[in-house]
Amino acid sequence: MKLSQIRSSLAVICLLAATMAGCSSSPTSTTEAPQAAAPTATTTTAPAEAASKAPVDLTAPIAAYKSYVAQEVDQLTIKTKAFTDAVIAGNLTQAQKLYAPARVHWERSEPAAEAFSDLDGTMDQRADKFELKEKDPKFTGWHRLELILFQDKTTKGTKELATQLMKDTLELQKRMKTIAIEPKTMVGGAASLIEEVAANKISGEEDRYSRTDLWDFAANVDGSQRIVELLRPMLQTANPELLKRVDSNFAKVNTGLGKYKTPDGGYQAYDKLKDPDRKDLKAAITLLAEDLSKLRGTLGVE
Amino acid sequence: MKVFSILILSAIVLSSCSSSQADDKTTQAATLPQTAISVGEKSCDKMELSVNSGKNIFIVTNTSTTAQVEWEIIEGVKVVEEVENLAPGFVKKLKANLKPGEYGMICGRKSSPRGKITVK
Repeated sequence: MKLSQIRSSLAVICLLAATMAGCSSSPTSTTEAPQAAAPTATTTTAPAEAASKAPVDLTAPIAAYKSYVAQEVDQLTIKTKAFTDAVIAGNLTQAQKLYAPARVHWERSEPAAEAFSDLDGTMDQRADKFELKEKDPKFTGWHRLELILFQDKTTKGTKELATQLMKDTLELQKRMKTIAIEPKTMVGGAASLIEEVAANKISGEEDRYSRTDLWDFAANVDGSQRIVELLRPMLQTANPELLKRVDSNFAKVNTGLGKYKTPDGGYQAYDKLKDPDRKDLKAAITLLAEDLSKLRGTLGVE
Repeated sequence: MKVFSILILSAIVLSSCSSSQADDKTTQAATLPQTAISVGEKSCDKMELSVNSGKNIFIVTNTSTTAQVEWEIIEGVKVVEEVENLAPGFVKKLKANLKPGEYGMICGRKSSPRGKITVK
């Protein structure tokens, strides 16, 4: 081989490596920050991960996931009934106590449960998603009730909101029975749950009045980990290294959250989360978000 | 000979790219039609889009300086594709495989006036 040929071959190899690294860090979608805040810049990925496999048969895990989601939504319905009953009865202490345990089921099943734009819009929006923020009449659902129950510390003026939330929950339960869960909803859901933790839970934005953010945080992690469990045999075959990293980061997150567990199965208030723990959780969540975003590519899910 | 080997390597590069980004081995991400859309707090720069059916890439930019925004493609009440909680100044690439029809487009907030996407 002539020197010039070697040179050009080397250039092509470099190009190849660079392109593959670029590809592997952006499987289905990428978020680019204007500054160097994007997690994609921090990890390098073995070129082997860039190659996606042929689509894997996901019929069995999707059926199992559908039944998991149905169970969660059934639990959500039962617990939302108890919660809204307490609100309507004017029992503030009881209503406050039942708020977080009911939301757990929404947060676990969110990839499927939020598939309906109208219900997601009335049930689970935070105040800053509305023009008039907390005063906006369209601001309803869980977080409006959270504001009144935990900040204003009253059940006054909540009857209509509670009635609507229950009605929406029953409608969700009804629709969930007929909805087909698409592979991208399930496989992509593992990442979107963790991205949501990164976007809204780690910062304490989600449950700003009740400070029950860690309940939602843990429920998102549960929901994501369940998806990985159901896909484990396929992931083990397709990319065991990726699965190993995902397992290890889930373990780190669960250990971190475990420190804040309370005897009743719940979590301490978000304010109690210490800075070093928040940092550790954030690091593990960032790596998880990065790795889980590769699941769709790894399993060949459109 | 040299040109030939470069071509082969290029083909490998391209096919490995497409199999990680697009999943269909015959489709190359680089050749998918791209549509850029800027999302502000209450509206998109374009409130009506028209794209061809099949795979599309949407490059969604949050042009608001303060608000997280949403961008969704909806069919009736069902979310077909979405970019959620996009932070101010951030850009997200979304790949969508769309069937022909009329879709709604949520720009900024769920309560904002809806846009329209026509898929031919």
